[in-house]
Amino acid sequence: MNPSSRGVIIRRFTLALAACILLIALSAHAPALGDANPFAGMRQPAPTGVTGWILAEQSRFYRALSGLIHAAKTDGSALWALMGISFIYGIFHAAGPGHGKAVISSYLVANEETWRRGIVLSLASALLQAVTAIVIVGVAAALLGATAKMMGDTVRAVEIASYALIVLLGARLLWVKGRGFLRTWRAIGSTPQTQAAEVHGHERQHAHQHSSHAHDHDHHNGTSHAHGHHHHHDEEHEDILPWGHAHGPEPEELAGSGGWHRGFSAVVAVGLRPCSGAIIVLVFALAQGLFLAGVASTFVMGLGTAITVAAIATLAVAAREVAKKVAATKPGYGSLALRGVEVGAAVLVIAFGVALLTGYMASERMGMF
Amino acid sequence: MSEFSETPVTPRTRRQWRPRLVHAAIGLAALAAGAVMAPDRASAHPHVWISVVAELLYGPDGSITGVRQVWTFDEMFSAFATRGIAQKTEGAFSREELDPLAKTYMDGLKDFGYFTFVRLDGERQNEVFAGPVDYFIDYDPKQTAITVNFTLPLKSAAPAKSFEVLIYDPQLYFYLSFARFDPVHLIGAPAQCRPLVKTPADDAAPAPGATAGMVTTSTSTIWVKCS
Repeated sequence: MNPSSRGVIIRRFTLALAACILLIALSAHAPALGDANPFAGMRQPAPTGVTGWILAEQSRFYRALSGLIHAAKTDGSALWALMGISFIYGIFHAAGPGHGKAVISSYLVANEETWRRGIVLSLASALLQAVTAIVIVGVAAALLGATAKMMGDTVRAVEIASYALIVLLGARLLWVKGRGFLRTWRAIGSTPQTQAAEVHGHERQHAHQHSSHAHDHDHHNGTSHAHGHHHHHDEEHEDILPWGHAHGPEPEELAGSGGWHRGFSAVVAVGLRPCSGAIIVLVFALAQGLFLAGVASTFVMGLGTAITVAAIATLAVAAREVAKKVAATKPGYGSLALRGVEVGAAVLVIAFGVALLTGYMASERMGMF
Repeated sequence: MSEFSETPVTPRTRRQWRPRLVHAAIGLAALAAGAVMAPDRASAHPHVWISVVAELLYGPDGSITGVRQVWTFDEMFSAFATRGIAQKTEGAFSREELDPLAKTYMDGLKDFGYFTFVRLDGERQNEVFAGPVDYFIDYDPKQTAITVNFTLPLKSAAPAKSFEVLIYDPQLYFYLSFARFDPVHLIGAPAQCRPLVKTPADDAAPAPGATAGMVTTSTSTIWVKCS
């Protein structure tokens, strides 16, 4: 494949991906904006299109959930249907807006994570959400006889802790990624060889170009290059300038126990806050004397949620990978742009946390009653 | 040799760079936009379903003096809301037993404008209600649901022709929709007035001023027609 057709494919893929993401964002929200905001002057007889459909389905599933919990009191087989409905409800529920997806996706983009880790982190945070809901209802309602108000206050406290953790997570990402960005920036400014590569083009830095284009060329062409120089170049600069397929400035941080430890903080920040929907279902199940069925339903719902979050997280990672591939063909400024995107995503995580903390972005209203 | 075979490609590659980077930037910007937009409103993401009956209160001169509402919460939220509240008889709550809950709800709703907003001639009005009166919560043991009853008197009576009340949660955490049957009542209205229950399409909406009040929820609008 020659470089220009490759470029066209990458460009088309990027555009298609961007279009998909925009479409998802708009289709889910644009109709809802008019609908949720009558003051905008729009008058819709009923929500139509995607929003209307999602609302109708959510309503149906919600009723099915309560109906099946009722039925399970006398008919054990209703439990299976309950699990099925819970699973689908979890997928649907997470398809609506929520900060979990946004924070996880931004985290993955900022932290140069793989899609595998994206899926694991999504799953872990969704399951932690389920656990928090079960613990709150199990302890407060089942054991202590707490009222809705007390449970709401507990959820509110957990929420604030969770949002504060999101701010901390973002701040830490910004610190690490900001330094990486500055290092790349400085390296571009101060490395004469790099400047030569940028300004004078390929001829004087063929070894370096070769290292980022290696997969594009025939092997016999490659062997005629000075390999010694190539390796020397990589070793010398990998920790300063991440060319081509090299990883970020701190490759050792990306894998191993340290990396998983970092992922853990993201899981806790996002998953600590329970979904109030799960709490309502759990309390209802408890009132019906079927708390364990509620617990199982909550876990299955979390599994459904994880699938949606993982899908969106994978999309974010894919978008980042495309950008990375594109950036790899432009040494120096390409990786600077990537570092910039990481910094932007880190800032986004902080912004989410602050917006949630200050109530600007109110995603749950359990504490109001 | 290989050096020269690559060299001519370089200028082209470098020229292609900018558009590619721009497209990558567009893709990531779209992603960021989607991520930012998503949690901004909890739209299409309701957790609590409320069916609404609204009563428009008319003065002797035909102007509107206030709005009374009956909200029936869904069964699951009702179980959550009544959890831990002492009851004399199993499976039922008296109005008195739910009295503290009613006070809590009125306090909690205050910060959200009772999810009840007013437009006059299409213009949004602020602080028009004098605060809730005659509020209480009943428990329906058959539906196992709570109904929240409250009245919001207007500080000053509004001309019915230009009046519209909107009952909704802008974030759609609570999904407030009209009750299935008879969702709008007219109290003290001129005898020839009726709520237009079948919701007309956009183009069939009455001309401004041709109504004697409007009620809008998350789902639809009901017009009051006098003929």
